[in-house]
Amino acid sequence: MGTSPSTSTCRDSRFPAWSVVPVLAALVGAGLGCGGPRTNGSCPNDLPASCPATVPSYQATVSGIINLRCVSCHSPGGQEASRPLQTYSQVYSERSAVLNQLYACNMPPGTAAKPTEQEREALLTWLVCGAPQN
Amino acid sequence: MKHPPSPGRFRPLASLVWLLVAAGCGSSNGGGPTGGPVSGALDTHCSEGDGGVRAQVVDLSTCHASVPPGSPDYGPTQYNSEGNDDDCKYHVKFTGTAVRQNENVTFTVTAATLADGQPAAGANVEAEVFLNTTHPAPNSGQATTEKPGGVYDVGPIRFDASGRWTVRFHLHQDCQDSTEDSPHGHIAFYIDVP
Repeated sequence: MGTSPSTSTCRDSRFPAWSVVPVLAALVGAGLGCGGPRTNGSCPNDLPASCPATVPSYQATVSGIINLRCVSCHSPGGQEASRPLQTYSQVYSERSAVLNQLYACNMPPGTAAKPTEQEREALLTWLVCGAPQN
Repeated sequence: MKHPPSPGRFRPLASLVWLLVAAGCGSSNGGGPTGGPVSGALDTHCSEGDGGVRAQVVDLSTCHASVPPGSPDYGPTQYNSEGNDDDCKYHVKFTGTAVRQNENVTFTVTAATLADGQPAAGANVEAEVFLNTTHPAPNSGQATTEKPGGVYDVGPIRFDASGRWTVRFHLHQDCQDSTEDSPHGHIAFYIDVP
């Protein structure tokens, strides 16, 4: 599947008829000044293609990384107290969101200390392996 | 809080139209079948028995409020291409460029507060995209551009496998998702990728 830019003359005709009104409103108001694009920048595509034979241990490795990088916010009193990540069961129940947000470099947010490459690799590998309780 | 159903609340043919338009507007990348929203049951989770709508008013001042522990759950992933967010704060609809495997897709998301129908401006809509719990979409430099009227272009997004994906749009993702009136909202839709 190619990745070259589309040359379709219909590329900008992606709006079905039922959405014409808001789209027209958007076009009319385009010059009024809105915020610039928000982007997740240069986040690496470093997701393991598959689960390796040796899976990082939750007990020995993963829990420590999560405690270091996530729990200060994801615990009672933290900014994300509603999504605690203090126990295996809590992490497991949020494993999909953790993977999505970590992989997309949305978490940890802002200026919070980021996982090292090794930590990121361990977390992503463990999550791709299904977040086992090992 | 209730208000009468908005005229455009449910569009049962929206997904079909979306697919037809996408199919007719394929890029030059070889064409082939396109995917898109999955037609299915209409979203009624904010509907009241009397025909009204249960709407949660949001308060921007609670964006960073101190909150007690809890477990805010995501609602079910929705069919079609519009619906109300999990907590009945926003009405969200979207269109998009042709959905093909490994091609850039941009979604245009229109959001309005459910309580009063006003455009949800400044909502910083972001898309969380995944095939399953171990397969997120590849990082593709996703960016969001806001336009007037609560309209957001979100992309590029890449689907690197065929199957039924989930696209969860987050509004005010930077706000805590804890208090009932937090501006943070989220709604997920199925997207089929051929």
